[in-house]
Amino acid sequence: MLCSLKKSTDTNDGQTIVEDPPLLPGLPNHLAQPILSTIRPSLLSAVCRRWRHLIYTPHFPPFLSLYALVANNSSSNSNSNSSNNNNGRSCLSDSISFHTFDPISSKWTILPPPVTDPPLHLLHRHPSFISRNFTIQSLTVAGCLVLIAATGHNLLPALSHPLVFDPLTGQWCLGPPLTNPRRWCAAGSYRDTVYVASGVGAHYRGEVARMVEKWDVKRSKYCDKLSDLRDEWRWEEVAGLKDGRFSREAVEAVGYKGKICMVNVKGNNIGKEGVVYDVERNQWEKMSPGMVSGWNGAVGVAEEEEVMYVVDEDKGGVSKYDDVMDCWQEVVQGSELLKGPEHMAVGGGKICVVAGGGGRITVVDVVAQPVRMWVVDPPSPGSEVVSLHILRRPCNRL
Amino acid sequence: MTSSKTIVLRSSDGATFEVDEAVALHSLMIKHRIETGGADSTTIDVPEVTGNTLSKVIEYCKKHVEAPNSDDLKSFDTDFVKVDQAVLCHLAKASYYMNIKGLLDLSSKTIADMFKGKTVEQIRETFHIKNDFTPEEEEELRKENSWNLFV
Repeated sequence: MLCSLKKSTDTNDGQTIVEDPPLLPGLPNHLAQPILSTIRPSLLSAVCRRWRHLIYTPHFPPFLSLYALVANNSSSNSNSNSSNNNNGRSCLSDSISFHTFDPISSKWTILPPPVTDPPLHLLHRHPSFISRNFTIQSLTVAGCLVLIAATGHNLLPALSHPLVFDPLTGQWCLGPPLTNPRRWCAAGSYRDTVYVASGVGAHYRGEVARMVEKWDVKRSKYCDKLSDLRDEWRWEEVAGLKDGRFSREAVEAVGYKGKICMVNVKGNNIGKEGVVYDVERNQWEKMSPGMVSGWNGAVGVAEEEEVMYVVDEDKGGVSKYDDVMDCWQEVVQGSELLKGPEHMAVGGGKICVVAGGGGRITVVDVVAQPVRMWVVDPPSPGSEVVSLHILRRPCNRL
Repeated sequence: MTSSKTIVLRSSDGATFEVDEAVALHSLMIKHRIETGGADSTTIDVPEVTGNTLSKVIEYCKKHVEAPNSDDLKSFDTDFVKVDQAVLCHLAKASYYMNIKGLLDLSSKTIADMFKGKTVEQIRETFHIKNDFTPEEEEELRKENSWNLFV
């Protein structure tokens, strides 16, 4: 057909195409593709091979996948396999890896690690610090995964720049240099801007503990190339905190209805305090009491719908925040599968929770009636999931 | 103000249709031909489209040009696409070729709506798609979680 011949040179996925069997009989492919793009990929993937292949090409909007930052912890591990940079010091476990879960094939794939100079060594457990882990903080912004703070082998901040993974290219790049690299901090994002507050660098410093900065990634469309934006990237200081009470531990801040919200201690702690940063007015305010009192575990926000969820640490129930009544409403009853939530990601109508000390990923569909819940096995047995993110699937490397 | 100028459109199989110029201009492709064709282009060939399809396309353009704000435009559109699949595909192709966005969107959406509520097997039947998975692949498909993580 004339139309399909015109389009045969138009594909940009590196293949020479001879469009023989049409995707939809009776239509040229360039008309069939936009139609199929509106259909659920999980449905398309089961119909025939061509359609299953289509959903992985640039002709199909990249569907959402789960991403996990994983610490490979067993000390026997570090002698035998991966760490070629370990010097045989079996007591340190610094093997961090990044994985993505394809929701169509239900398979995990390992992602290329960031290549930095000097090479990245992130500490997660250390024999001298038996009772606690070193936090590795990551967040999602502008459709990318960003590694923002961690501790290195020498117990100094490991990251001088944020490390940014862009699913569009399947590659890592550096964000703007941090004025004060942190071992941990309060970090979150809202509307394509990263906010970093407080925390501790090599040593505690009062001015850093009060400092708040933002980085506007400036990506107006997910297909904007990061390489075009990088020249404009910089950290800008914004209104600071009044004291250092948020510097004690890693804090996950969430962006919700024009405000960055955070609480200074994890979990069900009576003494916890919360603050919110009003982005437009550039000022910090106390968090409303209802929001603080229910902030008892991992918190996440469904960006588009602007709904804030909490997974209760003790009971493993899910609640959503009602900002009119300043209270939390239970949407899912307490479940064993959700107890001990370490981290959560919200996206595509699902809440994905790292629970059970990092050994389990539980997915909750809060929209379905009745609520559905299921478990995704981590990439490998014995690995500990540190954080989860929901982003577009990584595009095939050419 | 209303020129009663008419244009003749000729389909691939030689059928001719006399239409008001205003109606013909609803097709941006025709509009371009007229604007670049000179004063004596009163007959325009549309070799990509057969007479049957062209007749339907003209019907669509007439309604949308002559009564664009009428209350029954929506129901007109709904009824307009109550045709069999082959005709729908011809309409989509013709509207693409003739650059009539409204009709292209309407026919595309109608085809997309045909997926609604159907199982995989029903989709294959509706669109005449061959199941080319091997039995082993089918087995794998069955094992894949049907709970649709984000998709």
